[in-house]
Amino acid sequence: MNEFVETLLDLPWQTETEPNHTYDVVIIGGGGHGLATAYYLATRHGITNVCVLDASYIGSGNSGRNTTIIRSNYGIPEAIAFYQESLSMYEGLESETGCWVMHNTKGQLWMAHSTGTARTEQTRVLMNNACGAPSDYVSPAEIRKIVPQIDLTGGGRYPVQGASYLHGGATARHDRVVWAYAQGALRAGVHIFQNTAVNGLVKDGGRVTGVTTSKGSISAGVVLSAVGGHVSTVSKWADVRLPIRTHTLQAFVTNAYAHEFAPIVSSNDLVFYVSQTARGQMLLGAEYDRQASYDRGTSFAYLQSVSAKAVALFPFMAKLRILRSWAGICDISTDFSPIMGYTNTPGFLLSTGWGTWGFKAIPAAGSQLAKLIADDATPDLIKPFALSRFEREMAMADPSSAGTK
Amino acid sequence: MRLVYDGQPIEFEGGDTVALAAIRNGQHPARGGTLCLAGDCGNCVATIDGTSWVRTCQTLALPGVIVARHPDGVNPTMLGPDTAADIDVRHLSVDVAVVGAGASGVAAAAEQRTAGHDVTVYDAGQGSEVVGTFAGPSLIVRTATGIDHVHAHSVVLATGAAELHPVCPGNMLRGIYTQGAADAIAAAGIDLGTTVTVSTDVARFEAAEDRPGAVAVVVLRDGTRHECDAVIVAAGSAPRDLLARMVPNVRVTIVGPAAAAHDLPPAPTGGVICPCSKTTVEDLQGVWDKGFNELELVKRASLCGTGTCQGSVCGPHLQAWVGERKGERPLPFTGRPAARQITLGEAAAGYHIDTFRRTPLHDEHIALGARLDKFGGWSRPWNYGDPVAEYWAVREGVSIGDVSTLGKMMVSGPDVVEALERIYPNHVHDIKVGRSRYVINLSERGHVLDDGMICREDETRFLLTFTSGGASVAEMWVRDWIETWGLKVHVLDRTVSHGAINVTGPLAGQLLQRLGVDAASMPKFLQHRHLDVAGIPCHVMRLSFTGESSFELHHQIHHSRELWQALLHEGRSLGIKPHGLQTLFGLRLEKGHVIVGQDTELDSTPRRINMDWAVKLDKPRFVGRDALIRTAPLPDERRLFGFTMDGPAPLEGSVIRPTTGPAAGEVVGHVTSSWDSPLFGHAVLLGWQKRLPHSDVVEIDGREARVSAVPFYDREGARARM
Amino acid sequence: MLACEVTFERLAGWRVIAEPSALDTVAWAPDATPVRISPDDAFVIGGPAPGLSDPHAIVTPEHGFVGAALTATELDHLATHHIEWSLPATWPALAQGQIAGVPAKLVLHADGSAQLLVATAAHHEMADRIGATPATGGTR
Repeated sequence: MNEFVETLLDLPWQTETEPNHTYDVVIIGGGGHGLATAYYLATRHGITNVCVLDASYIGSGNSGRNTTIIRSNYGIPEAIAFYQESLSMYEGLESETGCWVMHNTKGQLWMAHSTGTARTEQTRVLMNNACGAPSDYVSPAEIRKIVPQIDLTGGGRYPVQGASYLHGGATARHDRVVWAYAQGALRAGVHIFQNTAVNGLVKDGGRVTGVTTSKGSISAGVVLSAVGGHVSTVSKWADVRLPIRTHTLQAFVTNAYAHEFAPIVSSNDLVFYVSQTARGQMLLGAEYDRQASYDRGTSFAYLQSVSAKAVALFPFMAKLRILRSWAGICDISTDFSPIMGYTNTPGFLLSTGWGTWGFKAIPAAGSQLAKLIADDATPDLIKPFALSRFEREMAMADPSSAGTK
Repeated sequence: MRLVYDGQPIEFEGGDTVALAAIRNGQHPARGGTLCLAGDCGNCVATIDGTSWVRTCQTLALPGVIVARHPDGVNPTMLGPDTAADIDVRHLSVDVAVVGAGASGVAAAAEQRTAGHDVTVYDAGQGSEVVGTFAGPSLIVRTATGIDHVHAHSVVLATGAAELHPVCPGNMLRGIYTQGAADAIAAAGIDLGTTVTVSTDVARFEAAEDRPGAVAVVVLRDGTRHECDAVIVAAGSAPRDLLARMVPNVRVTIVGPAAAAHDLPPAPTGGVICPCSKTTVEDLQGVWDKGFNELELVKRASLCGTGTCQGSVCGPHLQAWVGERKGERPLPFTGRPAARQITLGEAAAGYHIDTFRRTPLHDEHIALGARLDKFGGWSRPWNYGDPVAEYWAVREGVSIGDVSTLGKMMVSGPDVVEALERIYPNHVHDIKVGRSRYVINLSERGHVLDDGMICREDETRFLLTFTSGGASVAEMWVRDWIETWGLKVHVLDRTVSHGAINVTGPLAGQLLQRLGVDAASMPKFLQHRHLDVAGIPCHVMRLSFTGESSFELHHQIHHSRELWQALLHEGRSLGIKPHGLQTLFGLRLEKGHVIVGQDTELDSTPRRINMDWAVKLDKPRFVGRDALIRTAPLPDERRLFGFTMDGPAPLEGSVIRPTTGPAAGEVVGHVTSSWDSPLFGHAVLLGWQKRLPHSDVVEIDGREARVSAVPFYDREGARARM
Repeated sequence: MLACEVTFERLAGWRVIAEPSALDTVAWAPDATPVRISPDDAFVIGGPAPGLSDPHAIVTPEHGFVGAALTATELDHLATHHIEWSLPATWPALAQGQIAGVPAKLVLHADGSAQLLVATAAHHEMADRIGATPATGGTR
């Protein structure tokens, strides 16, 4: 067996083939967020009567479709604190779960190609350092040392003026993160049912008391929606209206090459990002599609524009071959920040608004939501991200959270 | 003719592909594995002229071409220069595109022609590799000369079927060919020696000691052994339907074997199932035993199907293997571009990332030695070498700045006042003809979108200005609302048709008088007039962003250079200097004017930036009113402040921490604008405090800063009216 | 790749925004070439200021465009290499969209030739991309 297979741990599925009638917690969505919440409920709070339901296989949504980037260099203190917690938890995930998730701290450069964006990146560095995410503003010469493949003239059109450099920027294999949490949750007694579509919520008075599924109804103490892409539908069942639009987000990967491409590189002006996978492939992404959509189709216009941007900064990539493109559908909130915790409907909790930045939040969101459910009180770290912030006119407006414009 | 294979020249015949050339010389084009020579698998990839992962079976051999096999077991290195050759892109419209020139493609093309359609046929074997099908329908086709972007009225996929590869122990040896490959080899006049033809009855391949890595014996399931130089595998086929599966929502027609039902091969029991990722059947069993119990989980855990051929080889075998365990035939995994090879250079060809606009004064700025930079999609002067000198020219003499990038919109019509009253939170109806007013735009959420001026031309006609960065959004914004409300208003966005030069400084009026404007007709503060300046018709707007007396000269762009030169020439004895954005930003900061987007945030209400005065809630209706009324009673912690501190000015973005109070030492906001005021000799700043109570004394950049009333400069606004 | 070796010239004319019905009935001067950008918007190349029956019409000099005359061959080259969208099937016609990534207009004549119109502010980018010569300095 190859190393990749050998190092996998078992997924110790429950012996039950059908869900029980009642659980303390039912989680809709068997992606990273749903599974991490179940894992922390079971392992940190002793709440093991938990069921995670997924319409397809675990990690079939955005958890298995992202670009695996972990970073904390946001624009507002609340977000930096939250994502830095997540970044730190990722660093300990392998030792905690015993699963090799191919975590690799490699640093992230965010390039600026104009006076205006240089100012933005400088601002990012100052704010990040003040809020616990160590960063430096680096010169073109320093950038070249970090990533020698760069053309500092940006193809003559996008000269690199500088970059913010987040030392803790990292990547981890997305599937393996999903599996690490699934394995741990299953070991702790959580039930996970694949191919089990939730098609409605059970309500008693104003309270959500369970879910209806393709395998029958299930009662629940609380229901957490951890779905990606169709959260508006699920929330509507709970009479919760969300400030969210769903958009297609594409990405693609190239064939592998032997040279090391050390950091994660993003460009503020060009709006794309690239990193190298453990297998040597270049993994590229950019903005979400402007048109709101539930379609997971890919477009050539996307491949074309991202390729052009990548080649402008990294001429060697012109010769790399596009191996596979794909798309996910992501939930973008009006302030570009996530929404976590209570809604106005008792019994119904949310983990959503993960937009283009959900993977990196998995450990922190999962552990904080588990704490919220266990204590029936919102932990301070995620208080600013409550849905009620929109009623209170206290948006967490953070356009840089998307890594896009 | 010869090409270079792993550093050695080898002979080839005209018409050979690189793969055939290797086979002709007794070599495998890669390092082993079944060859299909049909572009389906990834077993023949090599580095060709520096580009790795190229399917040699789809690449015509040419004299002197350099072919390097990928190193064994590790990724290839990149060779040669980085820069890609200029790739020709063609945008083509066709009636019916038929993909595939095999039997089903020929039949489909004939049928379409009979029905009166123009038919274009694409076939990889004829040099046109279809990389992907996309919405449209459209096809991306890689040809010998470039990339064709093909828009078709309809697409027929007649891609046929791909021959199944054998999956059994020994299947990565050299000398194993599909029937189709063997036919192609024979047609090229290449003798493979003693061959044995097998089907799904093959149990394993073995090498001989004297020829390691090459097949010498094929063992069948019945135990019989057959010695040979090469094995031909005729094990059936699977639909070549990657292009079809790529576009579940796009209407394409699939015909022939690509659409036909196929039996899956028997579930494999050993050998390499995915040659691209080197996944073995033992690996599949390994992940299955660990609980990875769905086809997609098996794929993701074992990496089977994630390589060059994207599951074309292993897909049917994997379906069979998982199906045997689950008791039902699983669906194939999603088809995704790219179906055939395309590099980033080829994908990028013909694409332009963005377009930077130039003002009509671009050449003047260059001649004056300006440092140009990109702002909001325009090339603009950041400074002309000495921003402090530029500053003093504005404060004490006269200066000119190029503000041609401002959004400029004319609106006219019977409903224009009603429309503007609804668009802007300020009053519009009481602006007199010849007068102007500063206004902000709000989103429906009551957040500041943009700011600018309204100039009334006559009862039913106004000129609106917007910020340079906001101009294009503003046009859509205004048009959308007017259309939504069904009001009768004509809209002309003349941002790029009109230039604008800001003449600013205490001597600005004097300069205009020298250029022919008589004192009596000189507009007063917040007036605007149509006047000739240096003989050029100008719409002169008297306002002030810099804090000094200022006249914006809006004019047709064919006069811009003449006007600019006249101002510079006539202003010489007044010490005139042009100023760039850097100085402008400092000047306006001393006046406390916000720059929307720099000092504001996505959720900045007028209250948060101390601009409630620009909002008239007594108006019955305007965009954002409902939100402002709803949020008005809410407690609000977020507020933009002016600060002063000793220089040097801290970097913009520096965090703000109160020195006392409950939030002492915590980050409560950041500096949005910062400037060493030459006049005051200290720094002036704008920045946020987002925690109550707001502090009068804060720490910025490790130093003390104090909240200050704004404007910092000329609080009474006397100088702008001079 | 072949270049589209044309030269851009500055254009002078009028911009007319008016009720569509008013624009439909304008008697354009013989030396004017109206380009109907949208039902309520015309760019008129050359000629005197047109009179409109709409009292609220905006009629203003327009110097914001440059143009280049294209032969049928040059147009074909441009369309093949720089235009992602399909040209209208019947000519004369006005086509508008990005050409080489720059917003532009094509006045398509019945004889197969065309005039390419681009905002002066962006035409240097277009010229660079299609191999044309930009218009020279500001006219005086």
